[in-house]
Amino acid sequence: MTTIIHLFYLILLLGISVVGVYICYHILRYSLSKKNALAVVSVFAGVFLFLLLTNAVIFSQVDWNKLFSTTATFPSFPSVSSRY
Amino acid sequence: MSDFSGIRFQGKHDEEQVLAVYHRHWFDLFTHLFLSVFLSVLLLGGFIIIPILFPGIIGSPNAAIFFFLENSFLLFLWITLFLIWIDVYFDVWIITDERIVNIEQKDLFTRRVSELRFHTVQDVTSEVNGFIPSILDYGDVLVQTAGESPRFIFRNVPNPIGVKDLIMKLAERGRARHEAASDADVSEIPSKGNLSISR
Repeated sequence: MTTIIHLFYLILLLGISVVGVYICYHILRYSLSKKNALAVVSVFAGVFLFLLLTNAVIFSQVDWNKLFSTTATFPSFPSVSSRY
Repeated sequence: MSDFSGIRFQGKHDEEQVLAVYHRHWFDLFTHLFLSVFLSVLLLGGFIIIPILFPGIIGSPNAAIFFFLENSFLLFLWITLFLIWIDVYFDVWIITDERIVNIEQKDLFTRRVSELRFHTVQDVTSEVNGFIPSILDYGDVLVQTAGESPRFIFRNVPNPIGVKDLIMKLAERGRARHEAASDADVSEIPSKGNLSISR
């Protein structure tokens, strides 16, 4: 299960990265002013990279095995027989 | 007067001088971004309210998944914000001393560039519709041309009356220049009497 999640996440990360790169390319290619384009791209890329890296770090910290384990732990309630 | 010397666009001639550049009005951009702004507020609210409502979530093993979902949401929001901005801000109308260039961004992969020469301009109309456009002074400018192409529309640009006046002025000058050029061409054609046919 964890392998599948990691694989999906990797594809998602790749897709997001491609979109990010394309946005930067688009701004640099079609902007009327080169100076403004560089400023906007640096803001976009800075925040984008920060969010992408923190996302990957947080993803690695999630215990997916525990989250999707079939033997889920529920709080134990006292059984009826033990009450009486 | 703004300085447009740093402006570059595809197909710009070396001696062509940019007189004005129009993007959509900021309020139009805001209306497009409204949903993203609303979601951002919701996200920030989630960051503050959820730990207050469920104080156990921060220390619990589920904290990582909570932060992961929040971060992913923020990442998608950041990308969406820029995709909308590109779609709106990259719609641009450039007025030069020779022509009007309209660059229309449909989406990230669709882009249309059209231009018209001033001497083809027949009629220019400015339209301001609605309460907010009237207060903020933005609207459409419709340019009717002599050609087969449909009307040229400046969408939601600031100061539409000023834009209309500028186009009218440049159109008059363009027509005069075009007529002068046509007259010069006609005078260069030799008249019947001047033709000498050698046998």
